[in-house]
Amino acid sequence: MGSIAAKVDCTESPLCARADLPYARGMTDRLDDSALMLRYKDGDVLAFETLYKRHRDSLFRYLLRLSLNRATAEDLFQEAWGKIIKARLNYRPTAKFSTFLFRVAHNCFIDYLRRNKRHTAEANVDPDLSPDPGSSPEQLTENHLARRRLNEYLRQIPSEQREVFLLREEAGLSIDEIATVTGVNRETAKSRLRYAMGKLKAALASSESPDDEPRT
Amino acid sequence: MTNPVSNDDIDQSYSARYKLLADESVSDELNQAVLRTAAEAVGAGRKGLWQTNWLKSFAFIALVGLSFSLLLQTNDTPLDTMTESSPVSQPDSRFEDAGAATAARIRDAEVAMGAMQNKPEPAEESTTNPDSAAINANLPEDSACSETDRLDSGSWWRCIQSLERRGASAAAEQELVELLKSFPAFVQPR
Repeated sequence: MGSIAAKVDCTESPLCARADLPYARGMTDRLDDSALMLRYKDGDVLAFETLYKRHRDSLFRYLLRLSLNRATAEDLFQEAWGKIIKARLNYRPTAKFSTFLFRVAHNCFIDYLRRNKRHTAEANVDPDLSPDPGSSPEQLTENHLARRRLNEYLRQIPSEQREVFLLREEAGLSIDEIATVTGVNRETAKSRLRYAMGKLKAALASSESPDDEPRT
Repeated sequence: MTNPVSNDDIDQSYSARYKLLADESVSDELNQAVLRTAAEAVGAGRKGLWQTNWLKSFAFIALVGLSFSLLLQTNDTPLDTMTESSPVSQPDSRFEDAGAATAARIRDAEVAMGAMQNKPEPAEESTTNPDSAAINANLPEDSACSETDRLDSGSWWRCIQSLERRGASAAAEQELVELLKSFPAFVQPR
């Protein structure tokens, strides 16, 4: 596995020390993303932690289903956050933070594709890494199969349409914001989203049929 | 009957199904790596800020020191210049010149009196002739020569000669100085 995530123990590192006070955490929780980023720009690590927790999973799933490989997704995830951290000093809240974040991640993925022209999109999403502990074995098996089907459907969608769909579902971006992130015009983004949703609906509808086979 | 469900509702249901299935999360290792990077970046920024502040303080102190020394030099220079070339010194030199001229005339008068009487210096006389010194000491200064004697240089000169004859050398000398001041063109007769 090519993850570049280093094993660190933040509980012993002075760099990770923070004012973990209830009122401080409550204050940062109420701030919007741009305010948190501005506070992090001023040196508030707790603000960054709040911001990171808000967006980490959606960004990771976006990169995971875009690259279709967990190790690649982890590398791109860390690279994207690294760029956000570096860009904090020049950050200005001219647009929604999530638009800024996913645009950075999109650019990281494009750079990755350029560096690895033989990107084969080998599916290695590994959906069993986060099972619901409260589920029964039968339910876990059913969810496992459902996730596999979902990943298979998304893999069969063209990457441009898949990205638009993921930006809609994971980042919650509007058509205009998706167009900004992907660098296309509004109509193109809207068209891609319509195609992606149509294919997903068809695939999910077919999965509910008795033969339970994905249809492309 | 058809079910009155809009396309938006259908999209919502498919979106909810997607979110139900897509629940992967970031590993703890990756979380810690990102948070550590964020904390290190802030720490490095603070270190850089501290260095910048330290340099600013040092530069400020150096600037104040240089300014102070420059100010001291600026204050010292005019004082020296004033001492060397101040107009205040000019009256002093004038006084010195006037004093020198007066002293020269007095010396000339003394030489003239010495030549006239063929006597030693009055100081020597006062030390060698205690009687004349006592007379001179007892004589009142305003009684040396009268105002009538001082009306013209001839009578004033005769009075001076009488004082010399009476042994009042100091009074005679003083009167001669006054005579030369009042009649600068007076030439002592031989």
